[in-house]
Amino acid sequence: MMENRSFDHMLGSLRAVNPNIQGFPATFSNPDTTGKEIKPEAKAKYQGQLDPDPNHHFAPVDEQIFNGTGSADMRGFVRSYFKQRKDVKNSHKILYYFKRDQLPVLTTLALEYAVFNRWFASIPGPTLCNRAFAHYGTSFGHVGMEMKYFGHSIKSIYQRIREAGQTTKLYYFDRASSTLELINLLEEQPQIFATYEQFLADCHAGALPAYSFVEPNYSDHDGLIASDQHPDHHVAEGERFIASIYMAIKSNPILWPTTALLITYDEHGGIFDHMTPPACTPDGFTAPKEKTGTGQPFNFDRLGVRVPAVLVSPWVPKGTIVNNVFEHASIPATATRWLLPNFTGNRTPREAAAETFLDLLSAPAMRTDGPDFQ
Amino acid sequence: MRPIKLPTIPPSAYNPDRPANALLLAQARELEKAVRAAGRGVQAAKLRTEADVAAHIRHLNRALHHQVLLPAIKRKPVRPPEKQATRKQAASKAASPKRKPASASKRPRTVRKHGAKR
Repeated sequence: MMENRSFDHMLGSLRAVNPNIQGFPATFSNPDTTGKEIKPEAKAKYQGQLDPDPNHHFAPVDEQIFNGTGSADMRGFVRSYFKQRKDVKNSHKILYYFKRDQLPVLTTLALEYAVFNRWFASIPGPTLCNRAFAHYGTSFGHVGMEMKYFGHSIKSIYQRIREAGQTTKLYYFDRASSTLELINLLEEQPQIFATYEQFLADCHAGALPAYSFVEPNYSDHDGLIASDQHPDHHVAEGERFIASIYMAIKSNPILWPTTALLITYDEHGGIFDHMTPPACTPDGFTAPKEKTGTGQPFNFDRLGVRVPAVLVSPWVPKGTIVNNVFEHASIPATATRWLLPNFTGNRTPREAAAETFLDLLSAPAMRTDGPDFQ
Repeated sequence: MRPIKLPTIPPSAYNPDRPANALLLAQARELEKAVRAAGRGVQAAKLRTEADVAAHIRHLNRALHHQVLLPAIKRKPVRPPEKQATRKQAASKAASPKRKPASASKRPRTVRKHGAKR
């Protein structure tokens, strides 16, 4: 799971390649603070452009979606970004998107395997609450950067899998980058954690666990460049990181036929997307208005902004485009359905209702035409 | 299909002196809280750059692992790690020709209790 990029920003250019991939339409625009309508432009750079980091806490995302009106028309991105630097020209950069050839890894995998037209962040808010949905199917009522989820009866997907006697690992990049889940899971499950280096070794040895979650490098340190693609980290390094994972799996002829790789992003990072987030099954929690910052409580009954998501497997038919609505609760939902079909433990109504993606592995024969990266 | 070339990364992409983003700072603070909650003292570090946060997170990560794996009696307070020289500091150090003789920098040894402030 990568960091802070929206679908239209990363994959919007693919509409020109295949009109069924729902990048922004030619009619999409946002008003700036002078009232001028601004259209997306293919001017995104790998680094040095989104300064300051676009705000993506709950209240600013609410503004990005609703633009201060009751209508979720996705027309508030430019105005929201303007507030950070009070610079009209700079605020237009929030509508910049990447050309296809700037992102050869993500765009190639999207075109070669399955791309999701409607994979949304779980919450219109920041990183940690969204990542929690990928691990638990809920954020336990949090809409911010809180990290502790002790004292709830809903177990993480790792705990569920281990209790069923199966294997799972959460691979973080290294100890200086760490993982956001260390706090919640270390005491109970220290053995689920491993590093990216171990991931590569496990791929080489054909020893991947039944379910793995891989986290990128979140910071520049010790001569290593951050690979999470969070602004202002170099986006191309994230491309190389994704390629390294894909190639590590694909290079092992035992792993490749039996492994599916999902690539997605935790949330949009304040960057534009044109598709209105839909309503969803509430997860049973409510965030009070003091936490949302909008003056209104939030019942977890609508999703966040759309993010890129690509499913890779030799069993995915080439050029698959998925139109059902997915979100991060689909990750534990899919793993539970696949590995624990008789699971009877607690999980949220949200996760129980989430779409799963195993049925996309539907090619009549295993494909042998997948791309390689070097 | 011919292998697809990966984009290249300029050396300038690496900048550990970059101010740490909100996610990194939140992660460091939450890890500090977790170490404290687990019954081990930790001194709050002044974190500004990504290198600062990475060093601190590495330290807290190790402490948290030890906290879980060690019996309570062996647990010790956590001090912030020594700051690594940033690129700018390293460059200015290298440019400076003056160096004290080794003997001049020697200090009498002191015994510091674990967790004592520096």
